[in-house]
Amino acid sequence: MMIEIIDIKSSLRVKIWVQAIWSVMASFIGVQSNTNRERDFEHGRFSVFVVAGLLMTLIFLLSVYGLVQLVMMYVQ
Amino acid sequence: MSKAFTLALSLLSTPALADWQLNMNEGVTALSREIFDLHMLIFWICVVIGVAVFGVMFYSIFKFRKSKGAVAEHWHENTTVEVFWTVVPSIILIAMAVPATATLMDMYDTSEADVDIQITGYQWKWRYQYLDEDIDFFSNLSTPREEIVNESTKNPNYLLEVDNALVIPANKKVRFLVTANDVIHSWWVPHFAVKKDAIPGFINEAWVKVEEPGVYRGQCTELCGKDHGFMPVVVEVKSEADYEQWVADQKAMKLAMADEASKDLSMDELIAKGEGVYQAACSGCHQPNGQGIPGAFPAITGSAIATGAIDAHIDIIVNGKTGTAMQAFKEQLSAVDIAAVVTYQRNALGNTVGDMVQPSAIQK
Repeated sequence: MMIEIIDIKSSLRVKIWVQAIWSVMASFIGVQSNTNRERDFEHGRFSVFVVAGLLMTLIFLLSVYGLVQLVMMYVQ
Repeated sequence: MSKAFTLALSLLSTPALADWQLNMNEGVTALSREIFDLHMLIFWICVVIGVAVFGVMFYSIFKFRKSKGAVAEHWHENTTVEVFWTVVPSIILIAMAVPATATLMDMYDTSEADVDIQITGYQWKWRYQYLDEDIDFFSNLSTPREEIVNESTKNPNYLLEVDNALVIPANKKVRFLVTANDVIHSWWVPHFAVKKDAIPGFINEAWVKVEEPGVYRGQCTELCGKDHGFMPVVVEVKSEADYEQWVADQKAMKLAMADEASKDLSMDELIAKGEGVYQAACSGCHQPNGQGIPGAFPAITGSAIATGAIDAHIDIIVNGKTGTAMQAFKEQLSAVDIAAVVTYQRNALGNTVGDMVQPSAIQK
């Protein structure tokens, strides 16, 4: 019984994070469905979005850097 | 119908149509052709996108027009479509950045140049300094004034001709270090695909390697004041042997000029020479008749300086006047030129002071 509750809790936590990351990615390209927006504002946690935002920004920067390096390699 | 067809044919065969080239030049260097190819690639990508987007748009407008009973649908969002039209252009942009980066890296690779030339923009002329050769000269517009004021027929190189062209060797990498002395100018030669801002206090670099000797023309392309349209760029590309000869000639000319500066000239000689210097260097502001432009540029005729103490007159030409448009001409004009133009201004343009100055008396 106890284990089951922990499982539900941890899967819920994963779900919250996945949703937050998706929402941050959607915000990067300026596209979000109304349903998801309402869900985020009703159930989302501010801190989760801040962390997800910072994380995705870092990933974005690294991918731009990587892309430039790749192009430079291709060019030279 | 046949009339319209004939008219269209005759229009197409008119040579004047050749002047209506709207596309950029292919140029005369490997780099300019690379830039041209990139330009055409991006152009055709844009054409394809344009045709696709406008095709869908016009088809939809026509197919679903109101007269056919079309009713607008009311819906809020379609995330799939929105993601598609955001992600696809991003991918296209990134794909276009790959060849663009390759070309840009070539453009910025100014290393291992054979000749280094500093180009300085002045109001309204260019100065060329060959950093390894001790060659330094100004390049002024040489179109006759009669053509500018419509008193004679304009020649084919109207406003695209100078007294001293920039001379560079063919098949050598020439690096340009572009800067300015007063305001922002921009050095542009379309056939080289070189267009570089000349900014006071900054040095921008560009390079060129021209295969064929020839004369290539360009203009200042950053609005820089009254005579912005009167400071063209002319580049003469010479074969390597001809270029070496030119360098030798320039050095010999410099020695001859130094020699000339130590000689005394007669009043008539000074005035005759001074007139040419005045028209090239002074008339842009003070006007060819010496009347100036009231409120902007003072007259030479009857001026307190041109009719007053000769030392003050020489000083303002040599050192300029801070806070005004009067430039320092010590680097632009030789001692002979300054002596000649001072003597000319004092004894012509309505002035009759009667004195003169020798080149040897000019302290620069």
